[in-house]
Amino acid sequence: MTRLLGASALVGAFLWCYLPVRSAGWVFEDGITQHYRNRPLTQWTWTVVSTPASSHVVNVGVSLLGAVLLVWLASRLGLSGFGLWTVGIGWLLHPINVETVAYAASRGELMAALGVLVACLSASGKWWRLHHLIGIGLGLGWAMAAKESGVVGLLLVPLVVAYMHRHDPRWTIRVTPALVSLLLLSLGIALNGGVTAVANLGTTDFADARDVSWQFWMLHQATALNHWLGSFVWLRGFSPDIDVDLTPVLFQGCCLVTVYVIAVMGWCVRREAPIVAFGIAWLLVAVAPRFLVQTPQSYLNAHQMAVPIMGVLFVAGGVMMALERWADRPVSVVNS
Amino acid sequence: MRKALPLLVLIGWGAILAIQTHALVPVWQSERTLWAYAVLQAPLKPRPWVNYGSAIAQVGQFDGAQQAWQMAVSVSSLPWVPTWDRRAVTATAGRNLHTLETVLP
Repeated sequence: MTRLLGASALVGAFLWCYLPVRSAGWVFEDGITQHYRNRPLTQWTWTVVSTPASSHVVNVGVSLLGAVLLVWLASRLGLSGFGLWTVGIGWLLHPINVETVAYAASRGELMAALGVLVACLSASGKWWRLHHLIGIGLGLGWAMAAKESGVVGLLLVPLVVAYMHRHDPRWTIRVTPALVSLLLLSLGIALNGGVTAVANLGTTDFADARDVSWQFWMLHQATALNHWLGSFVWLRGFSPDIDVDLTPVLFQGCCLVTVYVIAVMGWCVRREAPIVAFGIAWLLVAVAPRFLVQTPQSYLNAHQMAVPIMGVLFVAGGVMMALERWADRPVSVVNS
Repeated sequence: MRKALPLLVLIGWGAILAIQTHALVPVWQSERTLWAYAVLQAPLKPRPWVNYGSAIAQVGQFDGAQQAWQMAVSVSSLPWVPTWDRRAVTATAGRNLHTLETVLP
């Protein structure tokens, strides 16, 4: 009963937050996105739901569905109690997701996130069984048909398998999905003209990705990633067009180092706090393709953080569970 | 008190997030609200100025649009602005400014 009341309050707060989108119009790339041919599933949905009001309602609905799947996945990963509430609250109420929900063009990102979550949920059990394999295949297919970024599912599914079976002595169970993913990714890159061609997919009328050096791209994307992680904590800087270029090169270098430090920290706590390590790994794996594909006119933005931010929520859930354990611990009394 | 701490933290965090999100959602109401917010957040980036100019030109505020596009052109000459952004601003804001000059008295 308490859970039901809590869930109702959370959904109520979410709807209260997003009430203004009912009357919102098209903004920024809402018009262009509807005609992207390389997102067949999302493009099809635009033929069915195409008015501003209905599009915003769809985003709100898909986000709610995403919350259910995310909390379900979090529970499969070992989170419970307040940890699960942290994940649900963070996904539905955090302002970093405003761009994902209130920006109609983010429908592709949200739908891809749904597919990724379905695939990961299917992979969180005995993945070698037929119905699990079908779930993984459907989830990944859905994600990649919704948006190109759905390809991160191919990286996250092996991560979930490796985490769920980390104590399993059979290495074939842990490693096979990673090998299959590696094969599929290599095949995909080869069919798309090789690594250089994939890196240059973001070329636009004004920005030729061939003009961008790897050093420039790594530093700028790392700065953008740090910006969003900082925004997640400090609840500031949720701009649709953040100014990464303004950042001094030295600071950009520090941001790149911070990304490495976060990765090392995740590795170091893998035994003491496996869910924290998993969340960090999820975050870094989910943003990895953004470091490969150069989109010079658009650095990492808030709606592209929809899937990576789930990793941060797993970390937050793990921290909240630790706090809960600490609070439940009996207070020791020392007699003099 | 100690036992209630996680619950209090969670409720407090949720309340802060909800208030922040509720305040941020209206930014995405229209092109004008979105880019007005964007230029406040990134005043030295040219693209938000270009888009802000276009947004207010659509509602007939041509003087304001002219200022925004001029600001975009001015900001695009700053040394850290990448070449492609400068090219985009020159093409878009420059064309819009030229159109305004020929249309407005």
